[in-house]
Amino acid sequence: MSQELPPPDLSAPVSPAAAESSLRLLHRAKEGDEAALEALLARSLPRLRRWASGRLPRTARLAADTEDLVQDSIVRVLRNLRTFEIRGDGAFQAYARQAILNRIVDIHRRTERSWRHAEPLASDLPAASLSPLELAIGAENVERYERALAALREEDRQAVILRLELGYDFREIAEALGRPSPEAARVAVSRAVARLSRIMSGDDGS
Amino acid sequence: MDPERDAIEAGAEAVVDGQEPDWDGLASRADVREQTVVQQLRLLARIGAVHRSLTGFDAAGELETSPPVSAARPTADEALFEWGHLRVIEQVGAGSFGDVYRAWDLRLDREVALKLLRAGARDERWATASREAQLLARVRDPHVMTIFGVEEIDGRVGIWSEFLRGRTVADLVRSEGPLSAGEVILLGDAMCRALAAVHQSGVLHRDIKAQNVIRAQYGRYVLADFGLGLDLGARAEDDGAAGTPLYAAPELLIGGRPSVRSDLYSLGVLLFFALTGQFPVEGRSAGEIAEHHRAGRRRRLHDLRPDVPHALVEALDRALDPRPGERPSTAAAMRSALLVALGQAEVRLPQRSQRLALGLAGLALVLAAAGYLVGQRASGPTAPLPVIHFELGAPVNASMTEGSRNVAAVSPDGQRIAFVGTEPSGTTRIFLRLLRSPEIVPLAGSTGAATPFWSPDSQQLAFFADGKVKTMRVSGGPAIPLADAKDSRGGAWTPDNTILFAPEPRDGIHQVSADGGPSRPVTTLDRDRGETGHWWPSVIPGTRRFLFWVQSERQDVSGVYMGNLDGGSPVRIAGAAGSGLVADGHLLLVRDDVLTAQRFSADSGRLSGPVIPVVRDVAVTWLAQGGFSVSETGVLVYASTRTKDARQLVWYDLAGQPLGQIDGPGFFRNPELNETGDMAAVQYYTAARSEIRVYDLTRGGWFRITDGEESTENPVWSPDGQRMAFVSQRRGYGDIYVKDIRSTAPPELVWASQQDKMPTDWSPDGQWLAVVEMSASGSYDLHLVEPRAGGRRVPVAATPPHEVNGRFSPDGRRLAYITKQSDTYNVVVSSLPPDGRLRTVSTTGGFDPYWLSSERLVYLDPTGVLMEATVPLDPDARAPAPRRRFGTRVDTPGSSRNHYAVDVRGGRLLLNEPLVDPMSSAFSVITNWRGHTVQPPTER
Repeated sequence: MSQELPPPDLSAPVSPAAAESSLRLLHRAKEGDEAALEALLARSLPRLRRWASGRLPRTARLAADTEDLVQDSIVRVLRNLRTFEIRGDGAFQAYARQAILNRIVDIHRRTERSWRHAEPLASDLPAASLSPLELAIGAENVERYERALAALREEDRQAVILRLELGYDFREIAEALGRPSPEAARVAVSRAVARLSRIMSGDDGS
Repeated sequence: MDPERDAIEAGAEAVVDGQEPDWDGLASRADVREQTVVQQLRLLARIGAVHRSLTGFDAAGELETSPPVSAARPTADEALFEWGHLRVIEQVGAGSFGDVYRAWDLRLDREVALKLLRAGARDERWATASREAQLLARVRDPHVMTIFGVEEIDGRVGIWSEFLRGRTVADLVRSEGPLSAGEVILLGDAMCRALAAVHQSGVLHRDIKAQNVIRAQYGRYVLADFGLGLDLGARAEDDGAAGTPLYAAPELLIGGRPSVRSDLYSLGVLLFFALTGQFPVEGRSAGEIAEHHRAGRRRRLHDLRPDVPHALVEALDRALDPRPGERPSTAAAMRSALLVALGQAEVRLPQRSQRLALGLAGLALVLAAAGYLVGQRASGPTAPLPVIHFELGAPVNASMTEGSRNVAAVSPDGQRIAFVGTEPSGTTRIFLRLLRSPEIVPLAGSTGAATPFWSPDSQQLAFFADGKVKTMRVSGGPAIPLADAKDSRGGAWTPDNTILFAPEPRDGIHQVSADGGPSRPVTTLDRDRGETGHWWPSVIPGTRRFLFWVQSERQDVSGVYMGNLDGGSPVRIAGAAGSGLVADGHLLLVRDDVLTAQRFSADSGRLSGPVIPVVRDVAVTWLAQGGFSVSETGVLVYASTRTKDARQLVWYDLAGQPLGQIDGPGFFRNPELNETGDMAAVQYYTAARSEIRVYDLTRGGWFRITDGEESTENPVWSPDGQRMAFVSQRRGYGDIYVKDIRSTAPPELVWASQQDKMPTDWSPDGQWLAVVEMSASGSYDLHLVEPRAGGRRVPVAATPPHEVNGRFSPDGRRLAYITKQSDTYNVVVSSLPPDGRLRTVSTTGGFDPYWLSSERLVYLDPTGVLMEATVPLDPDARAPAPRRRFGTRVDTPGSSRNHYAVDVRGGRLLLNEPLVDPMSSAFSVITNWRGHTVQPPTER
């Protein structure tokens, strides 16, 4: 009797029992452990996908598959792990976020170009080329935020991204940033946010 | 402390905590230079809010992606802070008016969810909120998150409630796409029940949305978060991604007051969203949404999901009516409307069916079909025709007349179905059901009628009563007798107004003008060929020809024939068990309980092309009438062979005393209780398929565990009740799957092979499944199988006689099963691993063993008596003779895997009993048979 057994499903989420710290996974992945790579991917993708949905212009979301874009970017990040100094999950997430953002900017430029070449069809063209975040707070403000974020210290930047953008809770942030407790993480994020707001207002606190 | 510094610090903390502080107040405390910083903080708060709305860490959805949390009492070190008697462990969500935490109730030592309202308790609105929370704390409903209490401590109002693990509907739809129609009906049913309970407590919910409904353990939908009259005003000002205006009834956006009907509107939006991932009215701001409402720009559910049951579309259209007065007035009323759709089975157009539909379209067979369907709105020319499969239902205060002569007749326009029902007095008459509504009404003046059939314009019915064939307008009017028909065998009404009928069993087909006049024979019996009757005439559309059934003493003569109104000898078309019909150039015929379609040319009288199976389990009456009827529009009504199979689930104690019925009647099989005895899984047949459903014995109500297009059968719980093994045919054979029922992840394929298999039990240590597999030689063998992909498989009983129904003893060291011993099936017990010795437990035959303890088991004898046997652990010890417990109403113990399940701890058993009275609803309907096809059955 012939038996057909399916290959193990690598895309399945990590089972809770197998959960281990992202930092350990990063280190294992850097050593070339495929399973750790898969686990990292499974762990990071859902959040980053949702995050990306806020950054993709509507036109691009129609044109490009968010999933592909995000997955593609993260896979690249993971491929570059060997050349990348891992200081923690926070660094990894921030790095992945930036990689995705770069891809989005690429795509954005491309779709902008194609829109310009197209007939002016829809009256809401400008709106269509904005991302949900830009629609919500204005493109100029997003730009100011990104510039200020880039001017922040690395650890502050990670703290802001993890909390405000990726929705990490304080326990997770403590783990990702190597803080002793959730409360310590909360204080660290608050300070980072205060510094960010000063930079955004053109007052870097000096 | 420096007050300016304080303002920025406070603002930054609010941003980080996802709170909305009094920004103007903060700005006023800062100097000019700092004011611009506060402005930027405010911007950051909005950036955070936008991202939260994307990442959706509302309520419990977030927990799924978090590492596992233990439900044990936390130490003080692990706590974020304490609030009264609650030790706050972690934040799990944030909303515009409060934060949600996972916390530990130190008094009652249990896990709770705590929502701390933002801002001071002095605010009048918070006072209202806490009053309402107190009212809600009295609501006890399985679909409403239970509120334990509300208190004000240290100036903060907190509401604590049960802590639910699961995912929000928003999260589900976002990550897995729109839900199936069946799932949405279950969701709607649960939410209507929840709202009815909430409204009854005197509170409006006011914030029904996908983020506030959690799909908790076992698929229970729970309404979680209450607006408490706080949000609408607040959020409507939000111009950004705020969700609530999307759910708001139009009257609220122009200043109207919230009401039961505005809650029901929001529920309508929620269900619309669950089905489509979209909203009926969308906009970027409350103002824009209000503008769309004003202009009447709304999406139609039917356009987005043409495949969902009509009744569901109708129920949602009503709930979403912009005019509050047109909506259901109560949640219970909305629920009744939804439940009409519940009887209508899963409504997906499988890939294969789509191909068939297109194939037929290519043959120009569905030219007349575009836009025909019940209440169908204009949709694109390429939209697939909906295929809806549902039970017809039974009239109130009457049952369907026993099937021998009663086949429901659908009108040519597909709008009405006529069938014969029996009232409690014994009077039979014709009942009519409009396809678009579930209502069934008696046809006045049709007393004593049998075998109805329709006029071509669908305005009149003909039937047989008082020894005559009669006609009557369905809109009312007298029954007009046309001709004698003492004991009729059916009739048909031709487009040129001639009625063909079989007046007597031993006669040919006659014809009479529907306007009256003499009747004369059209066909005559050929006695030389043993013909004894010509029955069940039907018109071949677009021709002067007709089909009829020839009853003959000779098998090779009996069959479906074609006759001609213009004369000529009848031609035999096919041998079959009963009469056929021609529709859309196909001959429809029941073969081996399967209704089949095959291309047919009336000109040549030839069949060609493949035999396409349309639907299974279609009856042929004992008078050789095919138990189905079709309209010109493709509506198929048929009598199912399965009605005699209906069951009800009844608790008994071990002495045979009934303790109460939990559900039924319905097509249940193979009930299995979980270890704690609070969930019963069954194999549940809908009109279209078999699926596994679970009945929550404590809270009541069914829910599904799997959601695929394929049939699933034979549920078996894991000992911890967290997983379920079952059979699915998705790969063409009965393969074994295991599903983690806490997650929505797809089930894991455990054992695939080219043979049918079924799990029968799960070992107490969780390591093994007992599985029956049909061997290549055709006998059933027992295997132990590890419940994971690629796990080991060990045969335990694989001899030529069947070995089935393996049950592990509670210590896991023995296996009871059924095998054939000298022509009798008996219960035997083998040790594990088998040592070759079998102890025969039953003495006069036995089925369905079930262990009560390591040395005692019960089983059913061949007459359905529940027997109890002692099975000593010592293989050489003599066992006392089995003793009788009580006689059950299980009539055919051998025909199914298990007819009962035992709640060992509760000392009771759940019997799956046949009914005293057969199910009164005997007909099923498919709205477009051309889009419907099934696999032919393999082994019956």
